[in-house]
Amino acid sequence: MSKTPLKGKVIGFEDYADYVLEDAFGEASPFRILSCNDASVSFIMANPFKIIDDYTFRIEDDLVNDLGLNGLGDVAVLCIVRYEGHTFFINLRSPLIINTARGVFIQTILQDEAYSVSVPFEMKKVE
Amino acid sequence: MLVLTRKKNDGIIIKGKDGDIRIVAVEVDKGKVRLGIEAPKGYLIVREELVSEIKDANRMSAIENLDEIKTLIGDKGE
Repeated sequence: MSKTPLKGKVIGFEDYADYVLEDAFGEASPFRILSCNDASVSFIMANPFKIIDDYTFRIEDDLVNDLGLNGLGDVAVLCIVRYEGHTFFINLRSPLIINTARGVFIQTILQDEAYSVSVPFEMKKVE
Repeated sequence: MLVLTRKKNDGIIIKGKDGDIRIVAVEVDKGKVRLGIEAPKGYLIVREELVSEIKDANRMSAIENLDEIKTLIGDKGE
C-alpha cells in the first residue's frame, strides 16, 4: 500500500491544501482514498477511464501550465466518488488532474455539458 | 456588489494585472441575458450554479468513517 502526498484544493474545501493519496485497495484497483492532512475529511477516488468507457476530455493549456506538466506520463486523473443509498456515484464533471511527478493536483471543471457531477455506476462493472 | 445597466451589445471591462476581462450583453430577451465573455488565459469561466453543484457534491462525498468505506469497497470492488 503506497501513500503519496499531494498538494491542491478540492472545490468547497478551499481551506485545505495538503492531502495524501492512498493506494488502499491495491495497485490494480481503480479506487484510491484521498485524505486531508488537516481535517478528518477523506474522499473515495476512482479512475474514471476504468468506469466510463468513452470518458474523454482535453486538458487545457492553462491547466498544463498551472500543474507544470511536461508530458502525459506525469498525468493522473481521478474523480470523486460518493456512496449513498447503496449506490456509488462518480463526479465526471470536475475531475482531479494530478501531476504525479510534482505531487500537485487541480480539481478542474469541464465545459462539456454531457458529463454530470453525479453519475451512478455499479461496482460489479468495474474491473 | 456593483450593479450596472447595459443594453444589447453594451459591454463591461474588468481591468486586471494579467489583462482585461470583457463581458458583453449579446442578447436580452424575456428576462434572460446571453453574455459573451472574453478573458485572459488562466480564467475558468463557468456558470455559478455549476460551481455550487460541485461544492455540494464534494461536501456530500466527504467521508469521516474511512474504515467503513474501505470495507465496503474492499468487499465489492476487487
